Amino acid sequence: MNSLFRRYSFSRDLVVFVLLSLTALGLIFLGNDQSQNGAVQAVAVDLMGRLAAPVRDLESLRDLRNENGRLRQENALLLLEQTQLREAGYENSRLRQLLDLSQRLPYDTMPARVLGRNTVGIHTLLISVGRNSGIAPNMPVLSSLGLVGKVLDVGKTSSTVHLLTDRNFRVAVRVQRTRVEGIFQWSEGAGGSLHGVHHRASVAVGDTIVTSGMSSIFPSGLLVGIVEQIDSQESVLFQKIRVQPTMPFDRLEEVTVIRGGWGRLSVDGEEAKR
Amino acid sequence: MRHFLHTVILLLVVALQYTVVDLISIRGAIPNLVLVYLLIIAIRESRMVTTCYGFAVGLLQDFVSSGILGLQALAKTLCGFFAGSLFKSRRVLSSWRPTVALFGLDLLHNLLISAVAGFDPLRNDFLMAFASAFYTAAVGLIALSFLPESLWRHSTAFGEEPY
Repeated sequence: MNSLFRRYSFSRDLVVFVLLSLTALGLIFLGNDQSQNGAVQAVAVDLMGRLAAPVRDLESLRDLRNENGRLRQENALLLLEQTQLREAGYENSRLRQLLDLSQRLPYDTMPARVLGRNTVGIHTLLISVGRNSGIAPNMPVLSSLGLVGKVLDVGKTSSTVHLLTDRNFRVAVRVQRTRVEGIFQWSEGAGGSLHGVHHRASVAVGDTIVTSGMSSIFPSGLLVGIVEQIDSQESVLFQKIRVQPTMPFDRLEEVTVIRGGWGRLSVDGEEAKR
Repeated sequence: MRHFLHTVILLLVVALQYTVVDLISIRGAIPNLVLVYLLIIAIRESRMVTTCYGFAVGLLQDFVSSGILGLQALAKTLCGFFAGSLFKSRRVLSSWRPTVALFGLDLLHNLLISAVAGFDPLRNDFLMAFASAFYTAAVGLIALSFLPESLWRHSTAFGEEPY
């Protein structure tokens, strides 16, 4: 009985299978007319579209997340690029100023890049030129905004610059307007100050302080700072004059080293330049 | 009720087949999720029912894919019939047998479609058919491992004797 049932069952399944296969084959050979299937196809596609919509939404959510991540990365890169471009712009501007300074100065100059700075102990800068570029100790170093310091030690390709802001650094200066002379010195806490100026000497706030040239190291006329505050008392022999350097020493990136030539400037500026 | 459930699940699986599967394709090889569910139907239902489901879902795919009308229907009818024959006894002792069956069925399915639609020598249809069949078998193994056993081991869970 069981065997009979199974045989019947198999025959029934086989008949269904054959019928459905024949239908499918019939569709393959006869039913591929788009004009007839168009309506059914439209319904099927519509049904699938409705079912697939939530999945697509999830997919687009994932895409959005990916795109968001990609855009964030792109944004970071663009910001970096923008910063680099701005940096290049500023550098260009500074180098133009330095070039302009080198062209204006009647000295033999050498541009240099600031490689590092030391503000512990002796205030110094490390610059990118050395003996190979003709640099020697005690050569004046300046930027487009004025005097920076002087060369302290020289290596083959780099040098150390003794900064104006070091308390051991002194330079002979004069008030540009009245030609009053003094010594510029930096002291921790008080900043730059002008020493040795008699209390009756004519100095005013806002006066420009330049190097006096009364030394074998610095030529005259290099900008040092601006008089910021004056404390003059009859009972005290010398005035207390605070000078604000024109240089942002903590932001120096390029400097110029004067290699020589100012000794002959007084005789013939053109010769010195040559 | 269970036929309604099978129909709804099959529709969803077809929708998944046309949306998500592309995202998990490996070098063009894609798993056939419809065949995986057809195999589950084969385990749970009779051969005739599986054959009918195969035809119906294949025809739906034909309409949705805008390919050769009847081709998927023929391939799925064949797969449904063979799957139904393989699991006629409804006793699946492990998930390995359905996995091997899935590999064979998908290979048959892919080769039949390639044969009728025309082999593309540039696409290396044979290799792709094997790769897709392997992928389908792997997905089937994972699906059968994660689905509750009661869902795919015995058809009597639905309260119906197989024959």
